[in-house]
Amino acid sequence: MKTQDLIKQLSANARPVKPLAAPELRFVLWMAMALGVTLCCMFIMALIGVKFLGQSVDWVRRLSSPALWLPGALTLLMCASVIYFVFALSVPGKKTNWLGFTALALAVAWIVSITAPLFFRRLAPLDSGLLCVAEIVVLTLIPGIVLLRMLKRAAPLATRKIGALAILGSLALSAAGSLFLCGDEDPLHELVWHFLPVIILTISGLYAGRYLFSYVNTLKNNAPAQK
Amino acid sequence: MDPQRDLELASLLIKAQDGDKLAYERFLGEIARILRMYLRKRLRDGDQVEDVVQETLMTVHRVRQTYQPGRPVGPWLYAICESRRIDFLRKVQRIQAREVPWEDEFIDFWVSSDEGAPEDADERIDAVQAALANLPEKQKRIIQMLKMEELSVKEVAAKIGVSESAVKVTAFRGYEAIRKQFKS
Repeated sequence: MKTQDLIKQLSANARPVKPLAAPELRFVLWMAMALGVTLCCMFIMALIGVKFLGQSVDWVRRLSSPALWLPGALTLLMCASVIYFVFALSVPGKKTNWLGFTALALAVAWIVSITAPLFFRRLAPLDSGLLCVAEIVVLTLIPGIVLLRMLKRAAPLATRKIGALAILGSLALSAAGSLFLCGDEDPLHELVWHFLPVIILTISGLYAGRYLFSYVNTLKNNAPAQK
Repeated sequence: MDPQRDLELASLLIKAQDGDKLAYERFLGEIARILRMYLRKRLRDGDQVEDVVQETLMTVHRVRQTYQPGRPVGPWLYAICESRRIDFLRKVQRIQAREVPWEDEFIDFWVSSDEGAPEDADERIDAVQAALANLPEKQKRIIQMLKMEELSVKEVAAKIGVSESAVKVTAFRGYEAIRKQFKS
C-alpha cells in the first residue's frame, strides 16, 4: 500500500479521542486503588483465617516487627517506583532515565533486605509456603487487571519491559501485604515463598508482555478510547 | 525539530484528537515527510524507510491519545519512530537468520564442483546451456532473463506479467531441475 493511501485511510477512520491523563495522575489513582483493594483483601483473608482456620494473630507484634516492616516498607517503595516508571514508559517521549535508576536502586535495596538476613540470622527448616504464594497471586489479581487495562489505553511500545515491570510492580504490592498476613519472620521462608515467586513471575512477564501488548502494533479492533 | 514546526504539528494533532479529519490528514502527511528524512540517515534500504514510515503512522494512529496537549510533538513522535525502527530491524534479522537468500541458491549451484557439473568454467557454461534447453519454456525463459540478460526480478516480473514471488519460485525450480540433471 502506498503511504498516501494509508494516510487517507487512517484519516478517514479517525474518531475523536480523549487525551490520556498525565502518568503522574494515573500512578496516584492506581496506587490509591491498589492499596485500598489490597488492604480490604488482607482484612478479609485475616478474618477467614481467624474465623474458619482458628488462627490467632498478634497484629501489634507483627506490625512492629522490624523483620517484617523493613522488607515490607522497601517492597512497597519499590512497587511505587516501578509502577510510576511503567506509567511513564507507556507515554512515548517521556524522559524516564532517573525513574529507571530509582526503581533499580530500590529493587536492589529490596533484594538486599531479603537476602542479607540469610547470612546473619539463624534459619529455621523450610516449611511449605504455598499458601503464601496463593495469597500473593490472589492479592495481585484486581490491581494487576486494572493496571493492565490502564496500560493498554496508553502506548506500551516496549512490550517486554513493560510487561515484566507491570507484573513486578503489582506483585511487589501483594508480596508486601502477604508478609504481614503470613507473619513468618524466617529469612529463608521470606526468600523462597515471598521473594522467589515474584522474581519468577516477573521473568514470565518478559514473554507475557509481548503477547499482552502486541495489539499496539496492529490496527484491527484496536481503536483508541473514544470521547 | 524546529520549535515553530513543532507548534504547528501540535496544533494539528490537538485538532485531530478532537476529530478533525482534515487536520489529521495534514498532520500525517507532514510527519511522513519528517520521518522519511529522519529514517534515511538510519536505514540503508529505501524500501525499509517506507515500511518503517508506514508502521510509525499506524502506531501514531493507534496511540494518538497519548500525546499530551502542551508538550512538544517531536520527542513523542521520534520515540514512536525509534521503537518501530528497532522492531522492524529485529524482524528483518529474524527472517534473515531463518532464510537463505534465494540468489545464493543459484550461485552455490553455479560454482559448486560436487554437483556433477564440469570443473572447467566454459564447459560448465555449455553444460548449463544444454540443461537449460531441457527445461520447460517458462523456467528457461525466466533463467535466461535473470542470468543472461541480467534483468532484475522486478523487471522480469513486469515483462512476463507475473508477481516477483512467482519469478523467484519458477527460477528456483529451474535451478533445482538443472542440478538434478547434473547429478544424474
